[in-house]
Amino acid sequence: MDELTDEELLVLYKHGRNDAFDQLYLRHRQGLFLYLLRMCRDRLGAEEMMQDVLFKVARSAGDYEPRGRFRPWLFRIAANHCLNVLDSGDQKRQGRLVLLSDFETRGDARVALTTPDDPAHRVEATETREAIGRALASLDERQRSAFLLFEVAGLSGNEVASAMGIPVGTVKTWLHRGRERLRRALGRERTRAEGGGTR
Amino acid sequence: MMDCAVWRAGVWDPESRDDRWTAGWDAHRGSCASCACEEQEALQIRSALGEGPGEETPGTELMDRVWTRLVEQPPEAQSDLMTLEELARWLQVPVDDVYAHLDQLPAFEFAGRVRFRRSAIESWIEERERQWRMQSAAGVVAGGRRS
Repeated sequence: MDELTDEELLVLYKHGRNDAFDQLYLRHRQGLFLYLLRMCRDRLGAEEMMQDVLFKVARSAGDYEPRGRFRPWLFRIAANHCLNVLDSGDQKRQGRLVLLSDFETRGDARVALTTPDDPAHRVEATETREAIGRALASLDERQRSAFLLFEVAGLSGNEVASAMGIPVGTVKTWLHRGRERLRRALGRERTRAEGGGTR
Repeated sequence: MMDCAVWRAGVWDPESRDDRWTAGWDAHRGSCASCACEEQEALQIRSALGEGPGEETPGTELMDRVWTRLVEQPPEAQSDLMTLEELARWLQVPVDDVYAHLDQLPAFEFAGRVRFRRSAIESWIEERERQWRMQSAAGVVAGGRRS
């Protein structure tokens, strides 16, 4: 099945081949999970949303328009579901949403991806990850979603606009705003590290 | 000579990179500390957004739970409310077309989201059909799109 496109796999699934949907899951699970995790900032919440999204995608497969690409369609469903859940406060009611204050003090297990054997780099990368996480959390949910659909899910500007039902110009503005916010956070983190200051 | 803004746009958005950008980026980065710094920041941000410890992607057990749910939960009754995407699917047109004609459709906004009542859309379609018939009868209908 490796040689089949996503769109061909979905058509196969529509014709009763569940293994084709399993293949789609394997292909897209990482991007989907990271998008949801960065949106809701909680592993359990992200896994729950991921199940909901895959359930909806499997259920909606009959409506899928074969002319369109699968990945933007998948993330359109994911973004809608995620924003609806966050808007409705379901996560907050369940005590799942990690508050910004918790995020700031939670120093667990955020270490470097690139230099795992170097303790100095590991600490630096952990702090960078935390700084980026805080900056990301300070963005409005829709701006955060647009930013993550572009940066994590790998959608184009046009695909993000279509997925979120907003004009491309708005996407560009939000991406720019998100980058600036994250760059400023990096700058502050660098200044803090160079000055050897404490939080 | 390309402006730094063009180089930086390419750093953030692969789609904006043309042949000139690809051919000249290494040289420009070597001579422009500011652009080189922005590339480093972009790399750091992307690395921080990637998978970290404790954030491993779920395995196939998650999909097993989805399969179980699909078997256990029969399809729900059709909702009377539709989202932008659902309406586009229903009308068999691109979402962008629905978005572009939003001011003509019976819609309402709640909490910043647009929703359509299926029954209102059905009435709207009937009205459009009525107008179409009248225009056809008057011989003023232009050829529509085939797809």
